[in-house]
Parts: sequence; C-alpha cells; structure tokens
Amino acid sequence: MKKWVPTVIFLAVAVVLIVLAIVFLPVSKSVWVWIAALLTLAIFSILYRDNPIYRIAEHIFVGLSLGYGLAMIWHLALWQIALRPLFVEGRFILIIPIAIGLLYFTRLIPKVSWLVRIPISIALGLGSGIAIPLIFQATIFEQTKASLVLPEMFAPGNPWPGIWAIILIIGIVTTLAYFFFSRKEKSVLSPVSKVGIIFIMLGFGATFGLTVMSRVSLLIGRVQFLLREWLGIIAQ
Amino acid sequence: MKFWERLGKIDRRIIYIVLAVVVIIPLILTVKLPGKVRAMPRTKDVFDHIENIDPNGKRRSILISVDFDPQTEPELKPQLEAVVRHAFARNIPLLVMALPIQGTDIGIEVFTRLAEEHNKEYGIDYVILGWKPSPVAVILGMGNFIEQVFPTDYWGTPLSELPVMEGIRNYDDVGLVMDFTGSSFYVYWVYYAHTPYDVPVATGVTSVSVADIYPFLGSKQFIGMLAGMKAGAEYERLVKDKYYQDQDIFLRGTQALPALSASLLVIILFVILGNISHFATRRKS
Repeated sequence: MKKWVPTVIFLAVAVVLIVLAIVFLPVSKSVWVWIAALLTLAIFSILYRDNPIYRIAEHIFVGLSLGYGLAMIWHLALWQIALRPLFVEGRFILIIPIAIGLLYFTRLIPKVSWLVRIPISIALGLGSGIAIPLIFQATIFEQTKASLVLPEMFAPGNPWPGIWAIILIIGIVTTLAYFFFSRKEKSVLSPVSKVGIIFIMLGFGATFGLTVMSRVSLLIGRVQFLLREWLGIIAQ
Repeated sequence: MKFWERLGKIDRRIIYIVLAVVVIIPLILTVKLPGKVRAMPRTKDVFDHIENIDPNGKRRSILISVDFDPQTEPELKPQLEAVVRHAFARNIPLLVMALPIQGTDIGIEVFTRLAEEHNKEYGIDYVILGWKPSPVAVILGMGNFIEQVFPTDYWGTPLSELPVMEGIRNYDDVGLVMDFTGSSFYVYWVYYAHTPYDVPVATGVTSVSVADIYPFLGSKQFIGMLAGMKAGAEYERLVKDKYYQDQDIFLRGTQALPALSASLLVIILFVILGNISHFATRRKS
C-alpha cells in the first residue's frame, strides 16, 4: 500500500463523519471549537501511525506555544516590568538590572562572552542563598520530624498512627540501605536492602497505577470536549 | 499460533479502539455509578478547611494559583471549578494568580464563567492578579506585601482601588493558598510560602504526582490534597450536597467518573491478560 493511502482514507472518513455530524447532530457553531476539535482528531491520528496530518498539528502546536509565550512575556514581563517603567515612567535605576540581564547575550559574541558569568553568578548566588535554608527546613528537618515514632501515636483504642509510623521508618531505612552501594555483597545490610526492594516496588506500582489513571483522565477530558462542546451529544 | 501467544501479540490499535469505546459509551449513555461518590480523607481535609474559613475574619481570603496549562486541564479543571464554587457559595474573597503564563487565561475563563453563574462581581468578590516572572520572587514577595508584587490587577487597575483587597495585605490575611498544578509548582508553595510564612497550603494535582505529595501531607506541610479527576468529582459531590442540592449545576468530574472507572477496569483486565500470556508463552519456550 502506498504511504499516502492511509492519510487519504483518514481524510475521507473524517469529511464523511463531519458532514453526517453537521446534518444530524446539534454541533457547535463556533469556529474555535471546530478548530480545536479538528486539531484534537489530527493529534489522535498518531495512534494509527505517523502521518502528515499529525505532523501539521504538531508543528502548529509548537509554533503557537512559542508565539503565545513570547507575546505574553513581552506584554507582562518585558514591557510591564522593565521597558515601561524605564522609558515611560523614567525610573532610571532600572538600567542597572536591565544591563546585567542583557549581559546574557554576550554569549553570542566570543570576544566578550566571559561577561555572561556576571548575571549567572548573581542569579546563582541569590537563588542559592534564598533556596538552601528554606529547602533544608522544608525537606530535611520537617520530613525527619514527620517520620519520628512518638509514644502519643499509640493512643488506647487507636494504635494505627503508631503502626503506620513504624512501617514508614522501616520503609525509609530499608530503602536507604538498598541505595547504599559501597557495602559488601554478603554484608549485614543485604537482607535489609531486600526488604527495601519490596518498598521500592510498591512505590513503582503505585506510581504506575496513578500514571495510567492520569493519562486515561486526559483522554476522557478530550472525549468530553468532542462529545459535549463540539458535537453536542452529551449534556452541558 | 496458540491463543495466549496471539493474545500477547495483539495489535496496540485494537487496544486503543477498545479503550475509546469504553470511554465514549458511558459518557453518551450518561451511566451513573452505583451509590454516591465518597470523598477521600485528603479531599475532605481541603473541604473542611475552606468550611472553617471565616469570610469576615482576619484570614478570610483564599489565594488560588492556577499553575496548569491546557494539557492537564481535564484533571485539574473539575477540581478548580469545584473549589471556586465552594468559595463563592461561602462568600470568601478570592485572589487568583498563576506561576506559569498559560494559567492566567485558564483562570480568567473559569472565573468569568462561574462568577456570572453565581452573580459575583469582579473587584468585589474576586480579583485576577495575573502572572509575573520568577515564581520564587513572586511567592516570597507576596509574603511581605501583595501589592509590591502585583501593584495592579491583570488589566491594569491598581489593587488599592479594588474593594476585594481591603484588609488583605499579605499571607497573614490569607486563610488558604490553593495551588492547582500539573507539574511540580506545589513545592514552590511549600518551600517559599508555608515554610517562611506558615500560611496553610493545599494542592490539587494530577494523579501522576500523587505519590510525590504524600510526604508533605504526612508532615502537615499541606493541609490536604485533591488527587486527579477523581478528587474533582469527590469535591463536586461535597459542594453539591452542601450548597447546591436544589440547583442543576454542571459537574464536570462527576460526568467523567463512570468512563474513568470503566476504562481503568479494562486496563486492569489487559494487564492481567498480558501477564498470563507472558508467563504461558515463556514457560512453553
């Protein structure tokens, strides 16, 4: 079969279905809904095989995303935060951060490309200074605190918080033991790390199940759009 | 070729068709699940927290961060709409912002539609703050003074001119930060809002992120979590039962739930069949 045959068949089927939908269903009269619906179908066509219709939709998506992002950054960031205050409101102090920011572009000029280190070092220094203490507090300290087994967790009548806390501790220790690679093959840690594998596998299983649920939800969302907004088959 | 061998080599496109049918039929036939949707404890925690916000008290507002793009809309939009309906029903002032650019337009679309449905007025009941670059600077700056980061709303009106902002200066006046995200923006809110300013934070995430959230729930850095489309349906049920019993409102997540359940059952069946086929053919070889 020639390469273009499936594409032609897909197009013909799509046209027939669209004509049938217009005649028999309360389809949307909005041009935008139609564009969104046709692009959704074009992207779904990859499920059959790679084809030009899919690639057209993919290129439109990439181009649009980039254009949208650029336009928004121009209006909401560059113009609003830098250019308007500088040129319209006359806040000349902004020349300093703008000039430092512009130094990023010196990468494009080999002779002065070393100047790029100035904005990078400022961003790294500021970023690390702000982030390190807060992230340490939020992850290491808070998480360690949360994994403690405390006597009050074994309240009479409801010992479950305590039991879960013990299971959590076992999970943390055995999983860490599994990732302690410098141990000998038959060390004391070996059986401990085998328990760790069970916890890791449980984690993988949960993540896999949740990922499947997530992807199916996205499919349902698109189908809901096609059936409700576009074709008007299901209730609003 | 034996049956199990043939089953193991089934064309993936047949699986796609089966899945499509299983998704489409419950939606078209408006199948309803037996019994009521039961809210998971993490969903209920978010609902209860919003229930306990006093609309006339000090921490009376909710800051909603719409940190997702159209790709994850099917999972997060039902959650967002349900939470907004809840807040509107309780007359809680809402501040809406976004950390990624795309979130702004989604927020505007949802709030404009729901505000009209609930007779809420822009500037009095809610405000769209919009988007600013650098999430860390934005979140930390708002802890000091919201107007310092967002001097105007999305359309350029000074925040000081909007009645909804009266008495709302920083996180001390915010009863809950509710972050809806399809990526890992929730950690920004934990690191830079909850940790330094102790503001209560909750998150609505896609199912795929749920496992990553649990450590923050255990440590109470999040007061609750809405997990995927299912949590959207759960929250819709809680809100409908309490505030909209006699009203006919569109429940996006609830409508999708039968299709989600059916498709997950089919996938479980495929996984079981695939494993049986694998072991049957492996033993033979």
